[in-house]
Amino acid sequence: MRKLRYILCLLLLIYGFDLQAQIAPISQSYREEKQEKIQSRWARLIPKQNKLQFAGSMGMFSGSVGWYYGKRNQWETDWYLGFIPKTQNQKGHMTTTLKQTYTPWRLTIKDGFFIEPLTTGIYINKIFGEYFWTKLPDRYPENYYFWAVDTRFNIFAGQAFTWQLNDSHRGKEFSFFYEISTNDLYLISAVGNKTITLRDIIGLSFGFRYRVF
Amino acid sequence: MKTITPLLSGRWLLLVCLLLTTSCELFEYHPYDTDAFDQTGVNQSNIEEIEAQDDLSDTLRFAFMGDTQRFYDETEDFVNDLNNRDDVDFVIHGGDITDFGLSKEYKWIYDIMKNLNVPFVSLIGNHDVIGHGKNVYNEIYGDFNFTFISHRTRFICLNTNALEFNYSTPVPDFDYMLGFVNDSADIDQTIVVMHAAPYDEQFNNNAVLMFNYIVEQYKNVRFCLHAHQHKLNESDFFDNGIMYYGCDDMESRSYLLFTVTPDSYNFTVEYY
Repeated sequence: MRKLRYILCLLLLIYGFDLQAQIAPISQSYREEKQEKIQSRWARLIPKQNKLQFAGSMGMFSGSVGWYYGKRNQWETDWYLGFIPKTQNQKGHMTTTLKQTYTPWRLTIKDGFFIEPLTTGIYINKIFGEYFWTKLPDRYPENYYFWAVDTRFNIFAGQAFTWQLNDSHRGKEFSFFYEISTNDLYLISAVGNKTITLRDIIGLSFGFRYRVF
Repeated sequence: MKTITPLLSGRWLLLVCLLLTTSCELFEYHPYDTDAFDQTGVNQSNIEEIEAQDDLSDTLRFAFMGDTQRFYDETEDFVNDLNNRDDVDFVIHGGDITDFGLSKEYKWIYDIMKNLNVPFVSLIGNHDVIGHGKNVYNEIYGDFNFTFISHRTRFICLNTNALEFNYSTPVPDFDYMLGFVNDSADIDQTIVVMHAAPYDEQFNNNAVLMFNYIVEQYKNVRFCLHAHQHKLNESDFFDNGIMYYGCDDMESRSYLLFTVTPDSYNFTVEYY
């Protein structure tokens, strides 16, 4: 019985389109409709914003492509590539970051100027380089070190200031944001130590956000 | 949408400006960055201090501790405890200054240890090597292997974290070790200090006998010291009478206090 059902499903998949075609012969408009549907679905994946961020334990400068979504556009997801410049003591590095931002409010200050009084979220940063590993190298006994040296989990809170771009040729809006952040290892270090204060474990970063459409 | 008075927006901007003008060290590129540190060459400047001490008495007294790692409060208490006594010439930190090898950790521990009234030197531990940690160690403390003389005693401090360096650096560095075999300095005795002891998983155990062979050549080796094991330890690894003493970590709130005279030596485990 089950086998039969599978076969029927398979047949429907293969001949489904043909059946439809037999019922209503392929018209130009149907094809266009279908095409539009597929295109609009994929179009949602086109990044709608860019960010350029300075510092924040994810590189010196990091640039991103990202998306904003939700009923009140309260969610943002950004994917960054960043770099750490070569210095006298160390090689240069590439970094990559996946960042999720939650913005509960947007306040209108005046026409075309908004404040997001709180932006908060998490980001995962990965650094690429010889001494940075995700999985403990084979030469170590099992569980020798418990953390992935190249991957840091960060939390942040900040604010953003947004200007609407009136000239639609230039895009939708432009924002300045700043954040304070810390990461998993700093938090672990601060726990149970009164010597390590909040001031010791936070970092500051700022950047620009550009929404195209 | 709500409307807020423009006055408030001015305040927001003021806050931003205030935040931006605070010190630059808040802008971190990466936790493993080899920051510009205020203090560099710490071991060398402390060694100069040790060697400038009045060491005419034939009694040498020093504290040996290690594995400060994430035990910041305990390390601070150690510094306070040691500052309450006036019979110690200097302190040796046996390595694992940090837990993750992060720049900030190096800074935090240094900011505590610098309050010691007596000079201190720090060896590199396996945790200190991770990421760019080894570069930070070089920047703050100096070379992985170093030496100093106090009370006619040669201290040889060695990097023994072979597993960490994965053959990229000679560990232990026999060339460096051999340099003290016919010591031209005017000394009576030798004490060898390391982070990981022979036969530990960090040690290059293929080189253990050669290591011992060189140590045996040193002038009047009194004993060897190591940290790393997070427990008190006493071993005669090579059945040759050269004792290896291991200190506990800072979490145990203890350190070893050594008193060395020409005829004998003893040590006590000091709890604070």
